[in-house]
Amino acid sequence: MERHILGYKCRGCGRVWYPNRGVCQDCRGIEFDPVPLPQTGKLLTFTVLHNLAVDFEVPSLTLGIVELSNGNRITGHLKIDQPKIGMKVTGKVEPVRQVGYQTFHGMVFSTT
Amino acid sequence: MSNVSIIGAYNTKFGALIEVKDMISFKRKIDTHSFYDLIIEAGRGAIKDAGLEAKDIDAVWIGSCSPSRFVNQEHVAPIATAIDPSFRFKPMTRTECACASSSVAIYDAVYAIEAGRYKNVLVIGVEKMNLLDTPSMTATLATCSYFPEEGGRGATFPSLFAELAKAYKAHYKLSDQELRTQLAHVAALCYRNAAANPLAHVQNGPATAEAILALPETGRGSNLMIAAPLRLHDCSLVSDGAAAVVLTTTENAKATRKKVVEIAGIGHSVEYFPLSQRANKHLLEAGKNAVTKAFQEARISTADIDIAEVHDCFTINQLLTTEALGLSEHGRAGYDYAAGRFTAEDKVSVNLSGGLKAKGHPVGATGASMHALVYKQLIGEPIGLAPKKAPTIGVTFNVGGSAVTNCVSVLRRIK
Repeated sequence: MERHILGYKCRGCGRVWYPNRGVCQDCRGIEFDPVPLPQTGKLLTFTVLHNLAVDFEVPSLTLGIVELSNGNRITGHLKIDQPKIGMKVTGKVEPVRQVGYQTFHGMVFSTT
Repeated sequence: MSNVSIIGAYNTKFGALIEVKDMISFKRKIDTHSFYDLIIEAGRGAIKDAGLEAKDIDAVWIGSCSPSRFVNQEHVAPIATAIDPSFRFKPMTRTECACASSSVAIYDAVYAIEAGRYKNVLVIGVEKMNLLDTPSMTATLATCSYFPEEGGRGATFPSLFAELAKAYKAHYKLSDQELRTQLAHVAALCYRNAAANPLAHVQNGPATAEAILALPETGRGSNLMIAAPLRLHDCSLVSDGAAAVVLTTTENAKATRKKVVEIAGIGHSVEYFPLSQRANKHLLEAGKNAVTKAFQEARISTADIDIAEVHDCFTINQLLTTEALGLSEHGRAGYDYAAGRFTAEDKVSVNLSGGLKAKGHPVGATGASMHALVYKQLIGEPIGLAPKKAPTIGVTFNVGGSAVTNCVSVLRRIK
C-alpha cells in the first residue's frame, strides 16, 4: 500500500495545512479533512549531517525543506548526491527511523 | 490573600484516548487525541468559558510532567501558539513538578499577575500517557522519584506509596484487613462519584467496598497486589487528558463578571526528596505545612471547607491528605470513609469528580483539573455530582512525587 503524508484542509476556508495545526491559522476553523499532499516540489534548503542521533546507522544524512506544488513546506530526507537549491524533487513516504517495534515514516525526496 | 481570580475553566474528557490495533505479534497503538490536540482543546475551551477572545490573553503557562518520554516532546509551551493565530509572540512557559506540574503552573501565573506584569493568563495542564506500554510508563513515572536512591534502584510509585501505607498501618496499629477495608471504602467512594462525571476515565467501577473486597486475588478482573499493601484498586489510572483555567486580577474579575472565584490562598511546600529521609511517614508533614500556609493566607479554618479535591494517586494518600486538611483526626480518616463520610450529602464532600482513582490521573493535567472542577462547583455549574448545599469554599490538594511537592489552594466564591 502506498503511504501518503497528509495535509489538513480547513472546512471553513479550504486552506491546506501541514503539519496539522489543530486550528486554522487563517480563519480559526477547527474542522479539517485529511488530504494527500502532492509529491513534487522545489528544494528550498538542505543540510548534510555528519554526526547523527541514535537509531541512524548511516555515515551521513541529508535533510531538506521542500516547498510542495501546493505551497506546503515539509522537511524530509534527500536521496540526492549533489542537491541544489531550487531543484525539482519528488517525494515518497518511506520508513526513516526505527525505534524498537516502532517505525517512523517520513518523506524521502529524490530527483526522479 | 492573592489578588487573582479564576474566570474560566475547561476540562477535556479523561481516559485512554487511543485505539489499539491487534497486529497479532504486537499491539499497535493509534493516537486518537494527541498531546497537541489536548492542549488546543483545553486552551480554547477555557478562553471561551471565560468569555474572552484569544487576543486578550497576555501569557500562557503549561504544566506537563514528562512529555519527552511519553510523546518525545520537550519544549512544550510553544505548542500553545497553535491555539489561535493571535498567540504568536506571546510569552509561554512550561513548568514541571511531577504530578503537581500544573498546580505549580497556576502558582507561577498567580505570581506574574500579582507582580503586575500580566492581566489575563491562560494555564493549561496536560499529559498523554497511554502511548507507552505499562513497563515504560512505570519507568517514566519513576523518574519523578529521587532517582539515585529510588527510581534507579527499581522503585516505582506504587512501592513508594506502599511505604507510606505500611508506616500508617504500623503507627495506628491497624491489621492488614482493617487497612484494606478502609482503602476499599476510599476507592468505592471515588468510583461512585465518577459514575456521575461524564469526563471521568472510569464510570463503571465497583461501587461498594464490599464489591472491591470480594474481587479475586488473581486472574482477569482481579484486585491483584501491586506493592503490598496496595492493590490494583488502590492505584490511580493511567490517563490522557488536559485541563485549563484562565486567571485575571480579582479587581478585573469583580468589575466584569457576575460570578467571581478568587484564589484566596496558596500553600506550596516541598519535603525532603528521598523518602528515606523522612522520620514520620504516617502523615504528610510538608502537606500539613502547605495546608497551614494556604489557610492562613485565606484566613479560613478546616471548618470553613465545603468541598475538596485531594490527590488520591493511591488510596492511602486520600487518607493522608484528608487528615492533613484536618477533615479527619490523625489516624481516623479510614474510619471516617468507612462510616460513609465525605459524600455529596456530607457537610464536606471530597473528590466529587471521582478523584485520580476514577476521574483519572493524566499527571501533568491533574492540578489544573482540580482547580477547573472546583471552580465549576463554586460558580454553580458542577460537572458531575454537586454537594447538597451550594459550596462557597473549595480546596485543592495536589501532590507531586511521593508527597514531596505539596500544593494546596483555597478557592472562594466572592461574588
